[in-house]
Amino acid sequence: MASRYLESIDIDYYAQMSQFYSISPYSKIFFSLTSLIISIAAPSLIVPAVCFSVFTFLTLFSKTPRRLYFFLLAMIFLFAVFNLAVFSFFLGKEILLGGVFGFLNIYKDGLNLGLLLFFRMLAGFACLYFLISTTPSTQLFSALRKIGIPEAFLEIMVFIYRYIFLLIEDASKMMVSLRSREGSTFGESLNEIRRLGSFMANLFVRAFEKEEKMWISMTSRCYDGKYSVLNVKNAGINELIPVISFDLVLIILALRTQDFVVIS
Amino acid sequence: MMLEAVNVCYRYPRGVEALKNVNMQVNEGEILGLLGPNGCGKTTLLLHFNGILEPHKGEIRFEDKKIEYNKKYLGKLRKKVGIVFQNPDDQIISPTVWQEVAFGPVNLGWSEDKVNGSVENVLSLLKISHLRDEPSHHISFGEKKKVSIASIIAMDPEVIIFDEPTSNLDPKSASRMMKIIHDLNKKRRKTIIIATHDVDLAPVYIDKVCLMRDGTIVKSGSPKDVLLDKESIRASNLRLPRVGHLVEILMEEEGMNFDEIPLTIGQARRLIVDELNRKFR
Repeated sequence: MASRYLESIDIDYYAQMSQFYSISPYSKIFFSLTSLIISIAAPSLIVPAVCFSVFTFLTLFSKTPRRLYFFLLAMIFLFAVFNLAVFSFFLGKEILLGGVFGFLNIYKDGLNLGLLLFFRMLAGFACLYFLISTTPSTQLFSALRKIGIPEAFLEIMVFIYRYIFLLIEDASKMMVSLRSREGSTFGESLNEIRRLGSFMANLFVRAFEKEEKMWISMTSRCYDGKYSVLNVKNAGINELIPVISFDLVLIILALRTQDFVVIS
Repeated sequence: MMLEAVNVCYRYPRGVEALKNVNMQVNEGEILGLLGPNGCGKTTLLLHFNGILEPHKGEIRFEDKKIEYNKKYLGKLRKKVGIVFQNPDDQIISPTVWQEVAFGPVNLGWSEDKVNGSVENVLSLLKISHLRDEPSHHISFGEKKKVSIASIIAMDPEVIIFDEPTSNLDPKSASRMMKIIHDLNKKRRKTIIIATHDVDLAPVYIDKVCLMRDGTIVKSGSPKDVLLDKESIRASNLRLPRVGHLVEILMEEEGMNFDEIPLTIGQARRLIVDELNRKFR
């Protein structure tokens, strides 16, 4: 499990290797965020479903590792399925199917709403994953700065982004050391809890230490609170035309399918 | 005087007195070795030279002027004094090698061409051009060490501080590392400070040694003066260089006569050959 997490550290590296690396980050941000907004705003599940398929196709096509994508997708998928179950069993008025397992009802309106949310989640994930797996974080952040996101906000973002992976790496190293010494006491619940407690406490302290080291390393190289990178490539009109036409198609689709429901 | 510490005292927030009245001078163009055991305050002192830490008492001088602790001055200072940290994993913060090396130059606000030129130049100097697009967390330790040095050299500082440059490196990489440092000093005329406890490698390259113990400099002078002061060296948890130790034993146990105790293999060879010639010819 830990190794799978560690793999995601390299998401920036994959972004560098990606097919879409040479495209301007502005276009990519615009492309994925507008699609995300349209999918969330669309009243039926057609647009989110289309978005999900298109972005999944693009992500898989962009030479980033598929295993990681499917691993992360599986987590979102699980969450979305639980969500769907809750909605269809507990929300709504019109009963579609009564007496499932003897005592549960499946509600028609709940199921429809659940499905809509299901696809919105998947679409949201696919859009954002496409963005981060094709745009290195440094480019992403400097593009966001030029768009006008406040400096303080960006700096927090940069640090969280850098830092979360370091923390995961540390946690997994500590986990290895813990597992290698746990021996026969494994499974004694009280011990387990105690150990988890000291694990978390230690992780917390290490987090502080690591932060300090990172700060020193950056400050000593003239970092002054502005995470600058070299010039970000501007969005060319030849990139924007397909993006805008895609958005227009999505909007038209959203308007034409606004009354669509899966089960009427 | 390039860099100078005058009566520097520093106490960590938790109350540990890390530096007590440290006095140290670094001349332009020399390689200075800061020798001392673990935890004697070497790293703490080095962080002062870069303006990261501010002394509670005393002052740090750069080019004969007292360091001011404001953003503008520190920016200038850090451009001229670079630190290579002991553990490259603590220093490397960028996803790829190229970006890591470019981090400093970009912060200096150089033009894109200048950054590119400087980075390429440094990568080829350290013979790591082939690593430029590699993810910086997945290269070997020795390579990471080189990347962390490259990221400092790329900023073209006048003084480069190395904190334990040879620790955790295999012997061959360690002597290569010292060669790189030596070349930086001789060919690019950088002033260099090395913190180390490697008494074997130090005398080969170092011009001047400061011996540190418990947060103070107990002795400074030429490698010969300091490294052959057996009491001081041993009180600092260090030892004589191996060849020196060998010659010392030969003198004490085998009754051989040497005029001096050598620090390097070259010196030892000359002394032993002379002694043998005297005895058997």
